[in-house]
Amino acid sequence: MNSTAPLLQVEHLTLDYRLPRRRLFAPPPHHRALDDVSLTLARGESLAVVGESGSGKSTLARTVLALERPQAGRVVLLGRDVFALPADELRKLRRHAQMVFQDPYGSLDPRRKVGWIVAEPLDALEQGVESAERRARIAETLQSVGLQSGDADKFPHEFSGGQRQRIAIARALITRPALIVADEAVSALDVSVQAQVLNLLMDLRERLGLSYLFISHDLAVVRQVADRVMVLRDGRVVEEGEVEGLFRAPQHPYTRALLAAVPRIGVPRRRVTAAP
Amino acid sequence: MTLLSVRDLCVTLETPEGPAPILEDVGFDLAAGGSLGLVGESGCGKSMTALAVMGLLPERAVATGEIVFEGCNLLALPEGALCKLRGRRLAMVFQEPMTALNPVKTIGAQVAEGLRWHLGLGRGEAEARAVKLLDRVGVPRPRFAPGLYPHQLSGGQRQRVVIAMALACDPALLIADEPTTALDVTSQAAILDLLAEVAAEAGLALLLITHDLAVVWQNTRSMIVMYAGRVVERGGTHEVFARMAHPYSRGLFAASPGALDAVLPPGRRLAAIPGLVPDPLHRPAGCVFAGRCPRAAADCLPAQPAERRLAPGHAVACLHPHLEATPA
Repeated sequence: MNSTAPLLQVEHLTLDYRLPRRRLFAPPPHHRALDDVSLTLARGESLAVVGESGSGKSTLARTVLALERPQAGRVVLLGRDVFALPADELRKLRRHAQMVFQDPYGSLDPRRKVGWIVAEPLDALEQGVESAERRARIAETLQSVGLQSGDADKFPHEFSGGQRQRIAIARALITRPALIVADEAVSALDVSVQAQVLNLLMDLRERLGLSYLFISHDLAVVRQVADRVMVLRDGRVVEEGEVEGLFRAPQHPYTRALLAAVPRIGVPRRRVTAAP
Repeated sequence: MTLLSVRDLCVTLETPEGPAPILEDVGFDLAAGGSLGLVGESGCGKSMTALAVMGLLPERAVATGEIVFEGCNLLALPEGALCKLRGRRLAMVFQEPMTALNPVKTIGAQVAEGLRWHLGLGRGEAEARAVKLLDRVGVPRPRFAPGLYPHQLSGGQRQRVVIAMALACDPALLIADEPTTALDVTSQAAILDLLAEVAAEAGLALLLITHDLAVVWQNTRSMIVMYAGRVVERGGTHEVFARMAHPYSRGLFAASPGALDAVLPPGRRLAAIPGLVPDPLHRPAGCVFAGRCPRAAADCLPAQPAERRLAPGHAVACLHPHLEATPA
């Protein structure tokens, strides 16, 4: 592994979803969810992808983790083209990239204990982990997200939304990945708890050198956690840049419209003009 | 003139573990044509307050106190009388427009329903009025025929239809419970603009429930901050923001990423409020926020702090409130 190479490189990704046929013998129409999207993520860097619903940001997250197959383009993770790898190699690569989902209620199996949920990626992706080590890894991971090792024997319903999101983060961390893809990971949380989870994500990044691909519609959140921001609209990248520069001087009219629409304390509301 | 006056509202929910106090001594006034914001995190009782006003509490809930609307106590009214008020004088916009609309009825018919039911209009007349209302809220013909179904519209358009339904019978009070939380940021701004416009046009009073402090700042004249089923701070919106006297209000403000107008320097963290909202079944005897409060002292623990006035129209339920201005 070359340590100077970017952790993740996405090149000219294009992905079409097939829509239902309009007529029996007509070819089915397509919806272009991603249109020539490229990005680079260095080790330890945090890139936010923002956009409205339907902009393709979740599709991008899923494609980066090889959960969707694009029509064109490459995803290179740790120097390896994920769509060119044989299935067993891809499986081995998966432990380096994990995902945290939005809904901490829907993403945890209610019938499994927390220890099982957290260890599932370990069981699936790393063979031959002894049970003593497995237990130690579960305890260590739970502690690293601010939970207790004894929480492994509880069920998800015994936890609040913020704690459940910690469980989801622990589950992503247990294989010691280099990349975490967080798809709206704090959107469902209350403000005070959201701040706790965002702080945890920042701590983990400093401690473990993680990289984040942070998918969000919330520009205020993005400003706090990302080094760079990429704005997607209808599957296309409309603007990309360092977070502070992009917030201070957005170049694209769409980015400006997005920023202007965010309600702010101390700033009287202006009539919104529709995005061009 | 006071349109809605809520006094000592307590709502208790029967649970298998015993009665859970959901709201305790909630009180506020809303003038005709005024606007009041209700802020707080989930579980603090914002939506229960709205449901209590609408008479839509769950069956296991028991409400005491008074909710006086246009001179009559809604809690004492029989269901039949409430039915005549709901959708007529009292209207509500819910968070999730897809579940608030009936998926198998056209948007025109859904807007016309209230007109036929409450005002006794005939089908043709009601539908003509519905078309006008849809036009007013920005879902105009011919682009959006009244014969469309909810699934053919986007989230923002659906929320506009819900607003048209709420406005149909010319209500005096509009309750909007997180009306924009499910929407994209650009539609959110447009919907808030629309609500402000229609409220001003029709002289409606607006009760706006939200977790977003910036939305309250921009859209309401007065506000109350709720925590664990109680009102902890109240006042004119700008006065409350200038002071943020209750440690919970201040904590909420500091934790909002949008309150910061710059990038956090490396190594610095957001101001999170430690801990969790107490479970209604295990609320402490003293101040409900004491367990998470950086200013808590021994005198916070024995009893609930009474509300005290800091300035005309600004009150806080705290023994050790912040007296200095909110840091910029």
